Amino acid sequence: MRGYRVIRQFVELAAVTSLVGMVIVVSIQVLARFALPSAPAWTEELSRVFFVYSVAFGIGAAVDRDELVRLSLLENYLSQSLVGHLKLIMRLVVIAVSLVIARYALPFVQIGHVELSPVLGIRMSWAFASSVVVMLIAGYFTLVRVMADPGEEGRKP
Amino acid sequence: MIGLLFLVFFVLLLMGFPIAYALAISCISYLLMADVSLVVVPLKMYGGMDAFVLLSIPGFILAGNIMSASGMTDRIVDFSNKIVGHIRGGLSLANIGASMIFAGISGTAVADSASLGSILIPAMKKEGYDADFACAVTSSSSTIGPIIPPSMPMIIVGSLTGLSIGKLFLAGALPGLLLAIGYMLVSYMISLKKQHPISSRASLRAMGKSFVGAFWSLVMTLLILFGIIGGVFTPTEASVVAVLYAVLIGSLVYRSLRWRQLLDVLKNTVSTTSSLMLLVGFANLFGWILIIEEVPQALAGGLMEVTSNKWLLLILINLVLLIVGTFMETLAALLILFPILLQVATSVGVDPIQFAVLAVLNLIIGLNTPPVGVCLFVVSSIGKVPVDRVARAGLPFLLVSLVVLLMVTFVPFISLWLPGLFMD
Repeated sequence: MRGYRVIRQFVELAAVTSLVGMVIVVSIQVLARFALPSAPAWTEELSRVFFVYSVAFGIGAAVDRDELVRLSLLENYLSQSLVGHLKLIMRLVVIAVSLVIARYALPFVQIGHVELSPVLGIRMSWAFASSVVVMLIAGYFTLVRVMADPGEEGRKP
Repeated sequence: MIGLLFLVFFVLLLMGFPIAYALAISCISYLLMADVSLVVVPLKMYGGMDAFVLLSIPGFILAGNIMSASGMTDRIVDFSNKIVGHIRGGLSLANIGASMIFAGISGTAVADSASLGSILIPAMKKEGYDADFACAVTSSSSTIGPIIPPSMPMIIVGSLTGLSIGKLFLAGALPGLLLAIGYMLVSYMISLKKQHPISSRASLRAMGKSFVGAFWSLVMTLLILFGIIGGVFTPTEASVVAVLYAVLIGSLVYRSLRWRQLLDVLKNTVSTTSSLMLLVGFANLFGWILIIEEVPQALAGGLMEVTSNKWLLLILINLVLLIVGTFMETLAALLILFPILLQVATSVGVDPIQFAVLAVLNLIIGLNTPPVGVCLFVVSSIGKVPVDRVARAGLPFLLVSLVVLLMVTFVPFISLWLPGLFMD
């Protein structure tokens, strides 16, 4: 699964870079307030874009590590095989829902194409596209889990 | 149709779906039935995440993770032990003290129980404490984390309601202190009864040396708190200043932070933040549906029909939140329930800041109770003790939490005094 590893490394790198970008931009905002006559107005906008992309790419790691918050109440009372089947169904539904939301995020991105951010003047479609990215990545990493281990926890490709 | 929304949500929740997806799917079912375009799903999801104040969440998580990676946890434990180690059951008191200090750099209970527990539970067992008690003290004291600033639940409350995060942080400080004092008293009494070990008193020189080690984490808490209260930083800026501070201390003062470690810390931070933000995004959609269906008004009306007495209503809300907290994750429960219940509480004259502390306190109590007490699970796996035994040993501490909850409910001064003193 070399392809998976490459995608995983890229997604992790993109998430970490976006987070570092956010930290740098907010740091500039703080430093500029003390060192310059006036703080730049673009920092808040740009830091928010970095933030939504760190979330969008970071969701891959969250799915990969099974960090999405959920209740495991019922699992304690069900047989191992039933839990396995439930997990498989759950993951398949998660993939389908992710794809549906990604599909409906496309018109949302198009709305952003005619909208400019107030200070930076960039098309908002760039920021709104993070909603497509987050769903595609969540769907892809869930699919990888299904392929690696249809119902059980643990093994990775 | 609102019935369908709740039905789908609860069925999926029980089936074990990620809560974010249980919210999304229930909302999609509702929107399809109501013939509303599904474009609203990404729109509201994005809207929920795109708030400047939420940027403080990865900031504080990152700062806490960097401090932990720099070996701050050992220094905090050492300092707390030097101060109270000579008292009967001193290590358990040190455990609670360390939790209080650690709360100032982490803001989450699970991080607290995992990092302090991995050091203190084996140390307590080695010194002769029974494992059940060691786990129960660690698990209970870790709930101080989400109350003492910086607090993730308070940031979420601020982003949901527009309440001042500085005020919310301050409001949690005194209840957090009361929890710690209560836990220490109970711990001391149990230690007297069980004749837990006692360490020799540390010399002033050793105490001073240990203080220097832990000093920098205390400075970080003060930097965050007074930076926000003093109006020097916004919460997001304060969180980033905390990150820069943690990097400087870890690399230049402690000289223990490695670049390789930093990469792992960054990966952990984006993973934790993303799972939380997906929840925030879909909870925003869920909340929007509840508002257009006028659910908060209906619930407020329903509860007011039961009683319009402020105190009885607060007891009723406490019961609801305590029950929810026993099976639902703190932040998820806050995102779904807080805006609705706030409307009910304010309609009978409860201060929103007091109500925020009350709600957070209620929900964090559930971190230490079965069936879904996350902190219980963490410490039981560290201490190799069955969850039910830890829960039983934690009953006296649970009683303390309930007493503090009642105090916060009936004495608004406890949560409103510090915000009034510094920010009004």
